[in-house]
Amino acid sequence: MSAPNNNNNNNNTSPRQTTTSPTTTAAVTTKAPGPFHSHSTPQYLNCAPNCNTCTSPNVNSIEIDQLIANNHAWSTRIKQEDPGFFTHLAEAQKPRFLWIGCSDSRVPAERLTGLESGQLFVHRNVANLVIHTDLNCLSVVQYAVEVLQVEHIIICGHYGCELGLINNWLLHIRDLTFKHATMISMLEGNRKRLLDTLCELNVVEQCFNLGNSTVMQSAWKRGQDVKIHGWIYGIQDGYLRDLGITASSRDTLESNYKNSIQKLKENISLSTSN
Amino acid sequence: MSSQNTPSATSPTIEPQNTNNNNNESQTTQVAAPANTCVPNCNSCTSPSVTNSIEIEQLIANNHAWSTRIKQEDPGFFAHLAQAQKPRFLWIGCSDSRVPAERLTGLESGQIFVHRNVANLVIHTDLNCLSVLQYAVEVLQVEHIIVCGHYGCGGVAASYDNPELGLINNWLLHIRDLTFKHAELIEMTKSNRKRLLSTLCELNVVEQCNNLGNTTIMQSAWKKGQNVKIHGWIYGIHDGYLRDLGVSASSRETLELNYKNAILKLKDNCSLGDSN
Repeated sequence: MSAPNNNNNNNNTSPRQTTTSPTTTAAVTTKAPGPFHSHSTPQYLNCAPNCNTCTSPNVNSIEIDQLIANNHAWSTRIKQEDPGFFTHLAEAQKPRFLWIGCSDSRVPAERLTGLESGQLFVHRNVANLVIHTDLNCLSVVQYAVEVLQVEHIIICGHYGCELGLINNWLLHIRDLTFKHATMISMLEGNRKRLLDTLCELNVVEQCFNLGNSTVMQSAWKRGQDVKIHGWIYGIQDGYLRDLGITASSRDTLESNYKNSIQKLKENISLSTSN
Repeated sequence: MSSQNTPSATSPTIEPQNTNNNNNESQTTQVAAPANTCVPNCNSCTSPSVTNSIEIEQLIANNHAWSTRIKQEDPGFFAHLAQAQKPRFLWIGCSDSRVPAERLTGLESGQIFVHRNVANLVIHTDLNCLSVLQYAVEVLQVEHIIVCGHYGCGGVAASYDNPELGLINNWLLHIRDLTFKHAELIEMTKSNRKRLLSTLCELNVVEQCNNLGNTTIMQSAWKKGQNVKIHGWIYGIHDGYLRDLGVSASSRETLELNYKNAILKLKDNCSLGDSN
């Protein structure tokens, strides 16, 4: 996450992106000329009758009321396309995947993976950390593994994650720079390379933390088929990459963790860049 | 998360599914990426399974197809996005797979900072959520914080029914405490389980907004005159609609006033026999 300018009125006029799903749930807008267009007025005619959240949008600024207006338009359109969509969705959720990712606004889990409502159970926190004593994240994992019986857990970090802030939460990452001091010292002269490697290292370590949790150890011990994956996302190109630390048991966790650390070191030695 | 409905209202339990091979047949068939739209030598492409199940490799294949298409439509999209994030909104919502923040609000990449946990709780000592909040308010300077719950929340139902789930019971105690704190409100809806749970979902959002507003982070922000507003919303998975619960706060004073009003409104709705 990057720090913004301290302008509270700064407009974020990011262009619209589309999902890979055949049924697009995002509102369709006409793309304006120029590299980054403003969002055009939502189709208020699609809102529910007597919708009292419709408002006239400010130019280039998304007000809070527009979020609910967007929602009503989206819901109405979904029901027109598939009348039973929400009724079916309300019955139960049966996601096969749990995503543990960064809170960063540029890393929306469903959009990156092309998954639909009901398919991805999601936890997001600053820098995608899995901390041994964090009841927030551990409750998510336990519910996903034991109640929902997910089959895959994806820990996804991203390049450009702002890891340099000094606060209690991010001390867990700072600790990694001491734990892996040799690797970090190899990158002293190249800040960008160092930070990218630290982002990757963080994912590997969080996968290791997750695998060592009592939730995962218990699941594997009773033979449950649940796999941990470590991915990294490039905000600069939109690609997800598998870091190869995939674990499906206590033994594969340990061996693949060691292999992943070794691979990071080799990449640095070879001076290959991501 | 959804709770399993059983005839007995006093002791239903959330039983995990006993099959590891359960297929989630999605509403729409996932189309695997055509090979030629991925990057050269992409080794994530796989032939899609004839079954309706989505394998893990397909997620990355979907991603590569998506990224390629975005760059075709707008070559500068990712370069622009990589410069900085300037979201004006922070979403604190439920981990439930049916409540995707960006999709519900029509927002794009870069526009909404997101924290999701079981039952959208904001707990005084939870460094996970508090770190998200501190970063969003102090560094990103978001202008709106939305606490969004949803009807049919499995965590809320579990807090009331109190089955032995394990570690998460400790987390859900924060909601269970609300049934004692607001015993009168719970008593009014006791005869209608669906109504009771929906009201508890709403009550939970109101309380989490109050917790949020009372954090040192929010109190400090308001004290130094920062323009940041709290909103409490509830989402209906059954109809796809977001509803504002009216607990919005932009200062210490409006927090206290609107919290009381929101609780009173919940009681009024229960008295009038409103259904959600």
